[in-house]
Amino acid sequence: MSFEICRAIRADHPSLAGHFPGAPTVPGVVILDEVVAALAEWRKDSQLTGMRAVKFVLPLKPEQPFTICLMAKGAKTEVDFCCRVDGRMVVEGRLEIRCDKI
Amino acid sequence: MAIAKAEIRTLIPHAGLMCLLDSVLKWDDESIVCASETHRDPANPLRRDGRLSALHAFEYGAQAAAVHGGLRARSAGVATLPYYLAALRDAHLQVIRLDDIDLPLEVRAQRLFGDGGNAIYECHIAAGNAPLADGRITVMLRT
Repeated sequence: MSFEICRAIRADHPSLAGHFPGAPTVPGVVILDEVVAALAEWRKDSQLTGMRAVKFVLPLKPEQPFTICLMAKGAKTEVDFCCRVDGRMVVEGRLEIRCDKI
Repeated sequence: MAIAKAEIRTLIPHAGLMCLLDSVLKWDDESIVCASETHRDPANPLRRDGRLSALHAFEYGAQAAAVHGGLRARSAGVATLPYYLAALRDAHLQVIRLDDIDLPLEVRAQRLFGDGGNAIYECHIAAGNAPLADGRITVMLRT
């Protein structure tokens, strides 16, 4: 099972003015926030509890469209993700989640 | 003696509200302890829909590691170079959000290895006696 969605961080995102002056680069945690938001769209009952591993491979620029792909693995508490720009890997990793479904 | 925000700004490239740490409480060659109350600031630039997700604790940790790199470079008499967050490992979150935490954040980073260039830090973010997040952060020189 997988889920895919396209996103971009707008140039007026409040983090960009100071990260960094004259060289705006999307902070890694802002990308992760988008990944977690995508997870919430895919699985509304899930909660992020940790990240086994995250690798920031390439910088992401403001307004650059990127694709978030979430992939469920065998364990129900783990979701792999990757973010790509034009097919090139920007961030990849494995999330640890808790499902609160009753 | 504590290092205040104005001096932190000379050690890392993060500017304006993205400079998240308020002070360095203590540091030595292996570790650093910082404090911040910016998690409660409604203008915190990492808030999303008014909330500050707990995952942003790792940006606080990465900035503590970057400040530590800057302090070590300065004491060695070499130029401070910009670091960026390159990887996270074994990261755990004990809470969902940070903006509703009343106490100041205590951000600890311990250098596990690395020197000058790439480094790995074990980070612990807490408020009072309550752990909020922990994990290993790799910071790399921006090239």
